[in-house]
Amino acid sequence: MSLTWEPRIVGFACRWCTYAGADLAGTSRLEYPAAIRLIRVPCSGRVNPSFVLRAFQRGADGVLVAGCHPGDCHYTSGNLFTRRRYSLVKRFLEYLGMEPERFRVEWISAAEGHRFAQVVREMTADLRRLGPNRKMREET
Amino acid sequence: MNERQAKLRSIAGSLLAEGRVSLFIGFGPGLEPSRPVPWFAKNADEAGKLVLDPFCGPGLARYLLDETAAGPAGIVARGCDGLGLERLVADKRVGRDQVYVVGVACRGAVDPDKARRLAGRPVFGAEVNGETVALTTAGGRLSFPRSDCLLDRCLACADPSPRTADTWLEEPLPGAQREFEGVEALEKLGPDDRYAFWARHLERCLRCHACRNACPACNCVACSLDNPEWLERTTGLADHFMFHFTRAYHVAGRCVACGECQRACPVGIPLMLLNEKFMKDIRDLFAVPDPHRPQEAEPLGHFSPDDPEGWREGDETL
Amino acid sequence: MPRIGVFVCWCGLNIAGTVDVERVAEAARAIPGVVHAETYKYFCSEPGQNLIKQAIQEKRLSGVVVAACSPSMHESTFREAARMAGLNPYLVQIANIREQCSWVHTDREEATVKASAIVAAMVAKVRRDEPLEPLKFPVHRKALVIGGGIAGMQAATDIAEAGCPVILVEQGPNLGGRMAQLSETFPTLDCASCILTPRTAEVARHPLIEVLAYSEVREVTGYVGDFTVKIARKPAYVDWDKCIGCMLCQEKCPRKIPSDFERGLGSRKAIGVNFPQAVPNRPVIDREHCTYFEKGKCGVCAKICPVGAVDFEQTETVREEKVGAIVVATGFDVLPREAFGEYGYGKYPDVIDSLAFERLNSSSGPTDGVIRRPSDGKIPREVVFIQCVGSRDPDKGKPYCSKICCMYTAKHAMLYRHKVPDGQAYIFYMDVRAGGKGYEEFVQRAVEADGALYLRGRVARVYPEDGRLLVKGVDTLSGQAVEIAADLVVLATAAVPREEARGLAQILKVGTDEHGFFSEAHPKLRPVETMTRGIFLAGSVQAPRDISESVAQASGAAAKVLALFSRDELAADPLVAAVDESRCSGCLACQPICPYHAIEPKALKDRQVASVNAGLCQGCGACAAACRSGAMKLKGFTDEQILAEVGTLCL
Repeated sequence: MSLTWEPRIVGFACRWCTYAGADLAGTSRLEYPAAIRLIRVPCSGRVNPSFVLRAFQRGADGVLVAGCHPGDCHYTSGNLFTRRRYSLVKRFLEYLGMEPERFRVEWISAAEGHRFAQVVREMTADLRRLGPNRKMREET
Repeated sequence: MNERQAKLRSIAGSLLAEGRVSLFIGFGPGLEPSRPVPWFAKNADEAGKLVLDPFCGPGLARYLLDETAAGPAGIVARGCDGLGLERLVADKRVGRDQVYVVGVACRGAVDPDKARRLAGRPVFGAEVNGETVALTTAGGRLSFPRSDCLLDRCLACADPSPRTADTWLEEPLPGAQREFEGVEALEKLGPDDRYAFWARHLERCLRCHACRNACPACNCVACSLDNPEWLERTTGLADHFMFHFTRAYHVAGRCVACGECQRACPVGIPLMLLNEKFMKDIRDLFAVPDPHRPQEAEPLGHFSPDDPEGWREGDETL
Repeated sequence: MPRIGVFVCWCGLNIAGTVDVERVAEAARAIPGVVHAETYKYFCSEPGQNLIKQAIQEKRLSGVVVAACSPSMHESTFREAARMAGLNPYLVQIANIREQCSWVHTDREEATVKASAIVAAMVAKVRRDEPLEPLKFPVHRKALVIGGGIAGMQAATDIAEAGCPVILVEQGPNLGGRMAQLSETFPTLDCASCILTPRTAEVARHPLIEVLAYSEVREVTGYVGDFTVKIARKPAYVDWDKCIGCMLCQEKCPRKIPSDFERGLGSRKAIGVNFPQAVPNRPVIDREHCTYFEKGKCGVCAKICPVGAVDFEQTETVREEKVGAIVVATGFDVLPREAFGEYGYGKYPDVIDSLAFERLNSSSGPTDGVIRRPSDGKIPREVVFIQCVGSRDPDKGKPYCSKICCMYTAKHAMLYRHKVPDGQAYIFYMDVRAGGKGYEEFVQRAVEADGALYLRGRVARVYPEDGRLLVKGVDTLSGQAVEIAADLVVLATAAVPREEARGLAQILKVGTDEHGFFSEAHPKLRPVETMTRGIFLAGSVQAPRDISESVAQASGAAAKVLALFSRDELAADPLVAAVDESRCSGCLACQPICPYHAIEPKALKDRQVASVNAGLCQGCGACAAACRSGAMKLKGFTDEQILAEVGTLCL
């Protein structure tokens, strides 16, 4: 454990858009904080809302669900279900007491490497300010 | 003396005698007059013991899940039972043609515990008259405000009668719109206070699964929350959050607001405040006026190309 | 106990420059189940791959994690290497420590810790991987083309020319589609039938094309490579096998009725063909208008037929065919006349639509190619053309541009001027859209050489006065009200999908847009494919298109079909959804969520469950997220795998 605390962000990234966008950030050598760790999924529509809670439970300080922009889904409609599901889930998490900054849903295309890096920077800055998450988290 | 009860006994009796149903689900005598129990009449004799009074509290729809295998079942249905049945039918767990619905107009059920506390002595009977409830005790009749006596689930009820029935015991009453005052009050708190609220309640969870077992929407053959990959057998607060978050999400857009989960909870967790949050947001975000009544297209089973991004507008409504 | 091997690539200095690869390997060795970890400069190189193969064999590895570049770069490379070493390729996972770690972080400590976490997550994932085999589907090298217009015929010809048999289904009695109704074509002014007829004849005599005219597709089941289609042949009441096409029946039939083909400007008989060059040249009895069917008497056709081909008892027959691919080319229609009260369409005989004007121009049309107005046969001296009738009009529910109207209206103005040299054509337009090779020049020719007068603006009203039609509108460029007394008004009505298209879309389980045009899989990158593998689009079924575009798209669709047919078996990614029937409640919450209609109920002894058609599933996993009980599993991305990744990454 280093002396300065750094947040931990778990990101669920659709393989066609956001994961490829993150790769583009890499090939463009855009620097961003190492807080983010991505899980590659076929589509943001695959992301079960309970995965998000599991991440908080196991110690994530922030969670990102990201996929193709509406209308651009590789599977036509997956992200439109994501939009419905996470419109509710985001509000529900906050209703349970989670700070809004800790959970984000973003549309990041394969061409938006800059945007991916920007979202990670923003989230990391927000989480540094908020400090470690203790809510809904397992005792360690 | 109780005309409704007599009529119900006669309808159920003939349904059973004619062989139109193999079983009739209603209420029967419990250990105390204020605690009638779910009753499964298999013949006219047993139908003769059916009870129908203001103490008939528990939801009945869920029993259809187990009881329609042997043939059609009859059921006395209040609004909550009717919506529960609709849920089971929508989930293809019960065939509508396997159920004979006797619809009633329910004015709310008296909570036996509240009644006992208010009366200060055992209660033998109750009568709901508009905004007051008359309780019969050994010491005579006592009158209390309705809002002090009814089950929590009945106080918030917007569905006195089922939406459809095969026969009506009495003239059905129209449904109303549900309000979400409890949710709105909680939304006004800050994140930390909200978390403290939920932590305080969920800490008490025994994970007895009474909520799940009472719920007509929790009708899966197997539950993912029994899978140790999803939820280990540990009972820390984080696990309780996982359990109740997942359960609330799984019934989002499907909950019929019967309130059975909360009624069944032995430690008094306000579970309906979880379910109602989803209802309120489904109503507001996706323009579903009555999200607790099963829809032709499930709110989470379809989308609209111009759905809002609820997380962006989230902050001002929260 | 699993035996996982971890291979940490330096990628030269790309990774090793930022990440301490030795420490990552060291950390991997400490993970339970990892029996081997090593680093190398370039694992994607031949010697690098050999190291992996060697370790798989020597250490009897049950799973491999390669920590290297993005899976989009070398996942297939390493999976193939594993396969060659005898390990199932789906037991290989890639830890992306280059694009998503070494290239975006500078702090060596942080990058190394993160790389180790990514490796640990992939170890957790690969431990829960199961060996998978690519799904294999047989390919029936036979195509179904629906629609016998120019697009359908082009697709059929291209496929057949490559040696694959084609069934060409046309709902009408003859091939040719909309193009058969046209007089000349833009921008060359070729006569439509001069270019269409040879093509039609070619299709009809092609040994590998079977034309099923007067037929409809009723049912499609199966999936790419292996569709089963039911095709109904509607009763023509003439035995086409016996018929010799002498058309004596048509000649002698006493019943005259208005012809749809002539847009009501001409008549036809209750038995016969639409036009003389029709292929197949076989008559059909119009049951609704036939005296025999109405009154039980007449039967002149049956009496006159020299071969006894007329068969009033004929019934619909249905045949079943196996095909590997389907091309949909059902074309378009134009908005019905009821929609345009303000222009008097349907009320005044001299207000006609552009298709009717095509027929007036056609040398085989009702006026033998002389432009006469319908009311009195007079040759019109002034003709008003109105563009965007219905198109680009949200009030009429058609906000889109019908695309072909600007060009054919310019063509009409030219043809009119060529036939009536002292006539004047006026064209009301919103914008002139003439993108296309030679198109703008064509429009300019209409203006400069043929004197078409373009007026920018909408027409407000058309009403009759003194035997002519008064057209009132505004020229928005000069801001002046315009009033023209015209002999004939021609409306460029919006192109819309054919009425039957919606039903066909449902049969094919292919999506449509809000207007009913079929949806392509991707507007830019997959314009001829649909979301259902093996079903392709050609022509105006997708959106309004002109002939050259339709033909190009048809050839594109044919190329896609032939690419499918170039293989004996289709291999599909096995990362698809599957149902654990013991956990499935059969609620089918997954069904409406599947974009591929791959989920159907399946009856078990005591209840129903969901089942996934692996041939249709594309592995998006939306169903798995919708499944409450966890019965729906997406292979390669199971709940257990993702939960394990989450748990590991949070450590």
